[in-house]
Amino acid sequence: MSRSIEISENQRKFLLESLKHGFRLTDRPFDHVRDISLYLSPTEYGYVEVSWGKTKLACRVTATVTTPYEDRPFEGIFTINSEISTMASMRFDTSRSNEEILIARIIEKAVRRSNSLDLESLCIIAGEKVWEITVDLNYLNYDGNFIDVGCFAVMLALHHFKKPDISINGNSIVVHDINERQPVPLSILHIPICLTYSFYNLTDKESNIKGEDADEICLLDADLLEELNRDGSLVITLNKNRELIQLSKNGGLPISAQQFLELTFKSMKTIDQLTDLIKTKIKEHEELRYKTENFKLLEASADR
Amino acid sequence: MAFQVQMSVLDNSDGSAELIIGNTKVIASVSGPIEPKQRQELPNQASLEIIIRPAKGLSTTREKLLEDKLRALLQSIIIRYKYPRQLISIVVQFLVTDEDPKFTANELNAAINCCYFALIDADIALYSSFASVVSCITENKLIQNPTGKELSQSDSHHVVCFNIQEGKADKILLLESQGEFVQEELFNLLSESVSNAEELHTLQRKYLKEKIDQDYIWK
Repeated sequence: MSRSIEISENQRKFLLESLKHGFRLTDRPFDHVRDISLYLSPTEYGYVEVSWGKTKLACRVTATVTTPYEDRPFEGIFTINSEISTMASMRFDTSRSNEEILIARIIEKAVRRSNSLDLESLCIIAGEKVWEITVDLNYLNYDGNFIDVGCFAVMLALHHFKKPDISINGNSIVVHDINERQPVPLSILHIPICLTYSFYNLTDKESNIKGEDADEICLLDADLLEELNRDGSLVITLNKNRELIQLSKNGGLPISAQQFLELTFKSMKTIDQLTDLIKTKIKEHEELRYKTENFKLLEASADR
Repeated sequence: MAFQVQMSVLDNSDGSAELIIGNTKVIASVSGPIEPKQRQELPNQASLEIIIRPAKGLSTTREKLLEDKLRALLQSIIIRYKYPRQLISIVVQFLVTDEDPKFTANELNAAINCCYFALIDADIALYSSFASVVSCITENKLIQNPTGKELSQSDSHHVVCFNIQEGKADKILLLESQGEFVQEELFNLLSESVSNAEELHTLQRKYLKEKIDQDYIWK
């Protein structure tokens, strides 16, 4: 049984009233994401924990060798498992709710269908052996905005992951242990980032539908309370190259095309920030690993 | 055996704990007592819903097996008659594991010890404390808290869970053994495990005391 979260009328009015005056209850500007804290596993490749505020999830990438699909002999296989357990919130239950399916599909569309992972580079022997990359998203704590955090965690984990090196002798392949040969990172073509905007109509609904005055409020990265009270939402997926990957607006409050363009334009700042965050974190982590695991001693080339 | 634990890590459940023991990292949440589904409801005691989720991939029969073992243990340790017609829902999520998927010993051990902290954090009534230890026998040598590699080279491996009363290991609540071993070896292992479990329990108490001191800091 899914247990809905109940919010009192007072709480709801307090939130909307404060939004009207230009404040969020968390004292965060409307177009800012929450504080992000990241943990990258120092011992294995492809395990990260990400939290945005109180929303927390763990993401793991694994690679196995399998046979490719018959109609796609040159492509590796990439799957994202995203199942929300009651651990995150009692709202999510063992039977998959609509919301859960929506979250999984939007993340899948953003990452997998946008071809951000180069599948052809995962081919080992055409038609016979390819790498299968599996991403497991485990949602731990729910405080709104699983889509953005999920997509971010998947991309971070994919960057963090390295698959074991292989060598091919005729028709047989050897998978080298990661201690035997340096593992190789995945080839990632671009970094899609999802941003969710929540809309609130603080005046009357009629004037909004007629489009007389567009004074609805929009918040980036809503927390649970804000998410439960919103009148509509929009997911924009973009990458650093200013390519629009996905737009998802499932009903709710209508917004004008003008506002939509402004939002997309404004999003670029956040997209750049998040992309840089992934890149700097991965770089820092690589350097740390280089030091702690004494990779310098293993280098064969001479200093010039 | 050293371990690290953090309690009350999740906001949306009544009790939760994150445990790192050996190379295994696990997080457990307890919600309850709550309203059950109609088919789960028992007229005179609480029903238990246990969900185990693996670190890699989707849950399989292996996780179902772990769930059953954990249920058998927790059923006898939770005072279920205190919560008639209620449900206690426990979710165990493995984050990092260190054993071949054909073994379950390290994971079962971590799950049991993690549940102990999560249940206490959720204020669920228990008959007694419990502590679980894992060991394996390799060529007549006893190894406590084996790593995944040691486990795969062992002749037999065992998970033992004791209930602890007054700081002393009292009864065996669960014994899971796999592999080839003789009676004498098992008895020897059990007597060794007693002191290990008691030692583990003093650590458990230390962490719990710290946690309770923190919780009542305003007093």
